[in-house]
Amino acid sequence: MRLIPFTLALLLLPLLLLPVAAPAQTPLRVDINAGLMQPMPIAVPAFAPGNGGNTEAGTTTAIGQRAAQVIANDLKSSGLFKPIDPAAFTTVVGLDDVVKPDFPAWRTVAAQALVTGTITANPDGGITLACYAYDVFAGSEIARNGFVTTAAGWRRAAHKCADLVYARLTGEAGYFDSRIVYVSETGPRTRRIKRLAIMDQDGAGHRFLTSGQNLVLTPRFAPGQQTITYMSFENNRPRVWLYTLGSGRQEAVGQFSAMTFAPRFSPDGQNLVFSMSLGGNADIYRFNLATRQTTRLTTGAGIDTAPSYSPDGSQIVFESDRGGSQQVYVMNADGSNQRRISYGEGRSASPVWSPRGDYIAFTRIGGGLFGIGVMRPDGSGERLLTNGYQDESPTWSPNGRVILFARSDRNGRSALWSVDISGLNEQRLATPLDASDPAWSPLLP
Amino acid sequence: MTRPEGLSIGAALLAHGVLLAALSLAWQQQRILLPSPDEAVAVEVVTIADAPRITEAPKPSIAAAPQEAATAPEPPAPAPAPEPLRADAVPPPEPAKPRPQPAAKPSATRGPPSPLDTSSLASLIDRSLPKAPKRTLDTSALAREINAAAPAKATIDPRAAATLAQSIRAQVAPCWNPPVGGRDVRRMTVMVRVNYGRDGRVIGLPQAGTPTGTTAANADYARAFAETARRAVLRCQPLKLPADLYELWQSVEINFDPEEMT
Amino acid sequence: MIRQLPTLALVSGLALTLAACGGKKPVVLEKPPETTQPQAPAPAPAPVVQEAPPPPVTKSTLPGSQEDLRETAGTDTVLFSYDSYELDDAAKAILTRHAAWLRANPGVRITLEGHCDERGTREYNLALGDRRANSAKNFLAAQGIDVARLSTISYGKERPAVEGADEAAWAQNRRAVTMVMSR
Repeated sequence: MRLIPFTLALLLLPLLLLPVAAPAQTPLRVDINAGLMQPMPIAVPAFAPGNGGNTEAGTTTAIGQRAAQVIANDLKSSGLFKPIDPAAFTTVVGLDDVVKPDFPAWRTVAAQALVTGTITANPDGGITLACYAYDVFAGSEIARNGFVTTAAGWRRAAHKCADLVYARLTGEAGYFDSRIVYVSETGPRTRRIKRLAIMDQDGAGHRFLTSGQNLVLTPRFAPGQQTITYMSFENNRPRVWLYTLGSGRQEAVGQFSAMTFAPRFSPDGQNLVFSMSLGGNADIYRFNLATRQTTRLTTGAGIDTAPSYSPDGSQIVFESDRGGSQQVYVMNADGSNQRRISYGEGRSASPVWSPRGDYIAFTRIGGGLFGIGVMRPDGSGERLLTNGYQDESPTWSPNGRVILFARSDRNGRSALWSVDISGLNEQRLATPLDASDPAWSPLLP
Repeated sequence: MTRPEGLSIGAALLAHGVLLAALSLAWQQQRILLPSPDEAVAVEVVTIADAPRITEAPKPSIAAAPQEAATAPEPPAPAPAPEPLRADAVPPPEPAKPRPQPAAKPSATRGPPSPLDTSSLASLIDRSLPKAPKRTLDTSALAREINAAAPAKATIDPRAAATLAQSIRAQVAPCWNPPVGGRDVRRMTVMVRVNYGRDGRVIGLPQAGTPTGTTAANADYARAFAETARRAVLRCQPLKLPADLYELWQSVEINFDPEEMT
Repeated sequence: MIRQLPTLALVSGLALTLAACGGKKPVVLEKPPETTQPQAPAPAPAPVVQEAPPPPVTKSTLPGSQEDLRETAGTDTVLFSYDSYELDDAAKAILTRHAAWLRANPGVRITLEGHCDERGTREYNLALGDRRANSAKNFLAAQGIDVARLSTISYGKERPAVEGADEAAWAQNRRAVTMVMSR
């Protein structure tokens, strides 16, 4: 605690005098260097119907209730917010309350922030979701936006509202309006059936993309999100494929006689990087989707795989066992300047560069366990976030704050879990069947 | 696969035409089994006017072509089972341990009873500043000690000020919920200037300065960070502080520094 | 998958034929793929057995079939140690018998399947399985088997032979399997 020396304070006193009647004093200086890390209580009452319209997704009243649930669930899942049970609310939010909330009433339920809004049916059959956020204790509006969409799009509008609130209250970009593609698994381990599946970030809108006839692995979104690259064993030719959402078109990438695997898009969407194994030697190649040119980026006898671009596209992180065991390496996007960055205990594998660039997530193998960790792009600051029988395949939320990964147990069951970058808020993401190889999309456009 | 490229490949594919036919049959079958989901519906962001009251439905500013309804209206999602949040696993910054309070009890043999019944800072006087328990207040006898140490308003004993500051810290810190995990959280501090009334309540809106370490890149985070500090001051009031020392604490500058966090 | 075995087998066969032919085609690569691959440690040239062990008269299995290989060679599988793709003596002995059987069945083409236990990451295991398959392939080639009869595929950790999460199970899953391709 630092105090201005009294004599100095006396000297400064006249300067600090403000033109007020009360005798001013040198402000008492207080230092607070610790707080409580706990989720912020937030109230998300049902959105008010802007009009009495009815849509193919239900009445505006019904959508208003469901939208509030979606928003509350989003915020809660981040671990940074604690939505207050609506049963505790002392007020019903009507249209007037949306713009002039009863702040004292919200303070009595300990809400620190308030999210309200309206749902209005549009003449074209769509809806407008108006989203307002308030700082309850300051009694001030902190954000608002409107979202116009189709009736069926109300969920996305709700996610965008949650993103707005999240961004305003945390100062970081939101991530709720995004999707996850992953591998759905079922059946005995020796004859596992795997299918590509896609769902919203919160598990809603789940759909299968492939039938399970072919073994499929490691799906990854293109930056534009309409394309997914993955690996398929179709026709017993394991290689990289592309799947186009919307049309359902599936296309093998290139005409390689050898196995291609571990694909990922470049941030500009122009290239794929993947491994190709020739005669048992896996190296990393870049494939230009427009020119179909293939460029070899790594050489040597080691296994080089799991490439992932830095968000600016200038570098690629990958794993290699060239030094004797799996470790994380970084190279320039043209393959030059390859250098090892991981020096932690055990093996480090399947690195993924964070979309905000500040971390690389990876799988740590050691001590008979598999865990998810993060390190700085120079290899420093390594931290393990999870540990399990088999935690692997990390993927980043669009804002680089949450990591989704696959967790398998000794019985061969696997599920998707998330953890935030502080190692907190570990939670399972429900899927209809077992799940692995998740990939988080960027924020939807 | 369907697009032969390169003459040699093309020739090979011709040679394997029959095979290809068989293969593409299987392929087509797969696609029939699984119609592809539609692309995500579009959402347009619009600015909303002051009044959200909309008596007639607004015209969307773009011709939002009705997209194919991807999903039927879903039943309201079942209320998610209340999941215990992991945050409670985080140890609070300082365990609120009762610490020995040698001077806590008013001594009958010493001095007149304290005129204050609000609260006592005595238990918080820490002679080994600045480490002190971040603990809410106990009752009784502190102003007496402060008064003894700093009689009246004529002079301010630094220790009295320090003790007051400590009490304020103990009362406000539990309400500070700094945003964790931010990129630059460890580099940021923010000063909040607060005016308190005699009842210990905040007068007006506390003014938060610009956090240190603010850059163009983290301006949003800096703003959110500063607001958590202001919110802490607003939530944890009124302060319980000795009324007769009001002049010492009517104006307070609180520096929020999460150095010990994350 | 299982229910469609007949179809699959057919498709597999066709595909592998295609794949095998594809191997002779110029590969559409900017740089031609390296042909110098890490060879399996050159096995001590095993004395080439001139005549294969005569098939038992009572045998009911179809000559040249997977069952025939299994019965003749004792097994169709060789095992590896953890994270290794080197053939130990037991594996070499088995593959030597596979080579003999292939000589006795000159019309048969095989696929060497490489597999891993589950104690590795997915991508790495795909590469490791490919190493194992190629170890076996290279050994057979060194035994004089025409490489045109040999193809490889890696399943990584996707197709374990047995369930279980202990060393006994993992040991059985770290393997290369000689699979007879349908004719």
